[in-house]
Amino acid sequence: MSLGLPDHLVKATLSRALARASHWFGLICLAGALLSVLALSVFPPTDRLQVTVAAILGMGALLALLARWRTVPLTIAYLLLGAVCTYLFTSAVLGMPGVFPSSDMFLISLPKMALIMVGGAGSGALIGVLWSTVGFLLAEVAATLAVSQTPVPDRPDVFTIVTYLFLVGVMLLDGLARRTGRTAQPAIHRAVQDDESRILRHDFDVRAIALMHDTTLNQLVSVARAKPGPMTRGLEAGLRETLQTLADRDWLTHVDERTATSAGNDGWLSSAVFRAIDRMRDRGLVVDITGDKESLARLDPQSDRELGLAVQQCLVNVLLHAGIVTAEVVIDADDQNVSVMVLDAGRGFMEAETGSDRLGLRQSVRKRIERLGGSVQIWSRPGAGTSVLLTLPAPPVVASTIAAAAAEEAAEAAETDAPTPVIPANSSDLPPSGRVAPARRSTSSAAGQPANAPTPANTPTPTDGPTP
Amino acid sequence: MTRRRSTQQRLDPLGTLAAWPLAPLIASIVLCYSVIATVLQQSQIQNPLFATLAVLAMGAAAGTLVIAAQPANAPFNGRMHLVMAALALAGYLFEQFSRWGSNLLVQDDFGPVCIGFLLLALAPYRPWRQIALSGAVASVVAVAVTLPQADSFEVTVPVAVYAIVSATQILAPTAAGAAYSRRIVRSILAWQTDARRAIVARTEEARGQMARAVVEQQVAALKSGVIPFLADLLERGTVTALDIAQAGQLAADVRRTLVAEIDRTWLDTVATRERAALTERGTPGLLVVADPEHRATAFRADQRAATAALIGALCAAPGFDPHSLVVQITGTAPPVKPAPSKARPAQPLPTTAQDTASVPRLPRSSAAKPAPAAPAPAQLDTITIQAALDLPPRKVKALLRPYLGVIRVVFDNVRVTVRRPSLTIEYDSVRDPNDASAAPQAPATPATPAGVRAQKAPRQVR
Repeated sequence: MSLGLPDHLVKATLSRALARASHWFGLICLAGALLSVLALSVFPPTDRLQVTVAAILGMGALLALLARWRTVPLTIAYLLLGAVCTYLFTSAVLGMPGVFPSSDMFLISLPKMALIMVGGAGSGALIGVLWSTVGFLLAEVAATLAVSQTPVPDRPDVFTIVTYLFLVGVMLLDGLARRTGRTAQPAIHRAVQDDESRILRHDFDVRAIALMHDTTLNQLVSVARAKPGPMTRGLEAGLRETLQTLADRDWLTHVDERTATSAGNDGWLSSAVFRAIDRMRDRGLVVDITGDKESLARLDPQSDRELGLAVQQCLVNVLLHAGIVTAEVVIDADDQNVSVMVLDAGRGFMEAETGSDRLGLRQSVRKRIERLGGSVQIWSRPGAGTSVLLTLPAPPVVASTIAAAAAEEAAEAAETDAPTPVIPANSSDLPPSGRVAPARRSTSSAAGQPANAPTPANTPTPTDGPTP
Repeated sequence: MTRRRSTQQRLDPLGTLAAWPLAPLIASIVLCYSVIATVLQQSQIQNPLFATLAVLAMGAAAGTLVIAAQPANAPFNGRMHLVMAALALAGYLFEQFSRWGSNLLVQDDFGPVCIGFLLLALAPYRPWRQIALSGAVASVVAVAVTLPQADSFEVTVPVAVYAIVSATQILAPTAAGAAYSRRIVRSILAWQTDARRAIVARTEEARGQMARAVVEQQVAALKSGVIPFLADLLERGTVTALDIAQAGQLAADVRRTLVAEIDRTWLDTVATRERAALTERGTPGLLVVADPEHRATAFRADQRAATAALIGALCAAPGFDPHSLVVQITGTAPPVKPAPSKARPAQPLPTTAQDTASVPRLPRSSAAKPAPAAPAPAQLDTITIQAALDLPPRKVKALLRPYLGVIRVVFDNVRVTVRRPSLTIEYDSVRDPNDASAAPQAPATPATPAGVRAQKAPRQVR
């Protein structure tokens, strides 16, 4: 399957891969430096290189740790220890009397190149370039200091400079180059999805055709082969049965038993929230949906549209949190409200610190929902993900099949309910610590629900309505 | 493709397009460095012929890299990898021979650095194991040719240090390239697993709607003819000659519809969808699919998706003539199955009772499959897409680049001809002869009721 990375994962993925490549480059350089130092201290035998061996080993260990956990403290520790190691290594190697004619030896470049290949914390080309530049400067300063204390003449180190320039070039190219075919990736994603749907549809078609064949066509053939005159009993029974089959919903059972036994979810599929999620899925976001999806059918067209746009904006925000693959949408309802919660395990933020760049959340989400009498609550902490709860008032709706009287009753009830404004709970009284950092692919929608979120489990859904 | 042999290029062709400028960049670095190093170290050169050969071989390796990495030649195959590595290694050996006995330093030899750079450039295109293996082999060769030259080196350090220098120059960039390749492939595979799961879940969500649509479509078709006829018949309780004739006619109609439906391939579905999209955009069009032998059913899922996306992009392109698109599939591979209408052209529409007896036999029976032909050397299905696109050729190519990038990875031998306004895209799908039995899987997805395929006596469903 050639389903490439979606836009929002590219930066983080490339950054990780480049960091991994840098670390391996650095580790090989350090291994080379270590072996060289060992070879140099064995023949002719010297003691002065022993400290250097320890320093290189320490630097290598730190680089291995950094390769595993790319954190800021480890990056800084590596840069500092690397600078010390470079100093020790350079002064020890060049300090060997009468061995090296000048400082521009490849051997001397080894720890320096390892220092450039820091592949530090954070994703993004510019951060990578920044760390490498710090590494380059530290390496050059340490080496220059060390060389100045030896009799060897100082010459520019071409290897280190070229390595640095090359690494920076690659990082800028990979990080900043506009990916060709930004629109093509969603199109291909869509095509894969369509193909999957088509296979299922084809399966249904084949079954429907089989039934058609077994009933209609057979019956027509029986008639065509019959003798003119009164119908035989067998033919009559066959005809009766076929007509019954065609009229009944037996068909659906035959085509797809699961659909026939489960309640329809057309209300969900035609809702604006579903369409918004669908669009985001084309862009490569994996969205898990749980909860009472059908309750969205209760929203009036305007609320439905606005809620769809608000959910879309929430999901766009998730996409912008580079590196997040999944978001979760939990839909819930009670007699008065329908609520949608959008959760992600992304970077998170402090709402108080949000600047003008959070216009999307404030304008597209909060204003939009509040204008319709709904409420928006946001829980987020840096590093702990974000949860946005959108609640909209939605009067209970009666199913169309219910008798007119019952419908009228319900309409009256809805009318009497309507004037009571739905007062959204203040966000301050809701510290849903359990939901702030949502477990990935959590399926429990009711368990950790915020206090004001409706619990549909014990409230009969109004669409069930009174039985006539 | 196995997981072990996955590459970024095969898994994410679009992402690899963005990395393409690195190949010519590295190739030019390699070429410039080998020329400059040769010129600057003239005094060490003993054999000018070998020195020239060294530069030429290294240049050829760089050229191989550029050619093989070009998006138009995707994917970068193992043969090109081998050719490039062999040329680079030959360049290195020639360089060492040219200065044998008077080589003052190892670190300024261009061979190891160039090999390292060239192998690093393979990162987006080749599996990490093969990159690492190439690097290991090259460094063994480097150590082997460095050790015997110990006498000529000017710095008096243990010869092991020289060997370490030459091996590190190869191994460090190679390890970086292999690590990149491994890491990126793992990330993409992890993403694809997620995406796959999401696609299945998404399809499942629409399941009910789809099943109901299928039933409604069938019932709607019957309501106009068959149901009233049968109901009327039941009411009257007698069969007339006219009824018999009409039943035969209706049976033939139903049969024809069923055959047409069951013969629809994914390509027809794509065309139908694009036609609807064109109508929605206010430019109703005519899309022609010519696949009389139903070769489309032999295409794999990724091939179907890539082709559908390409057709979609063409139809949505500015300057597209909505009446111009023709998709044709021909080929040398045996047809997936003979079209029922073509296979039995002489069969008249059943209008009499005798004829209709054979009607219920639906096509796609296993008996209709042709006997497996003797294994032909190349079993190809060739898909040709023609369209009229009123755009400058440069823009057409820019528009199609990402889609063709994907097509090149999942198909073979992609040919594109742009002669404004006409555009022809042709590509081949090589059919695996071992897979021939599994090929026509599309029409008979699992759980297909036996009634469709087997020639059993029809049964009543209650």
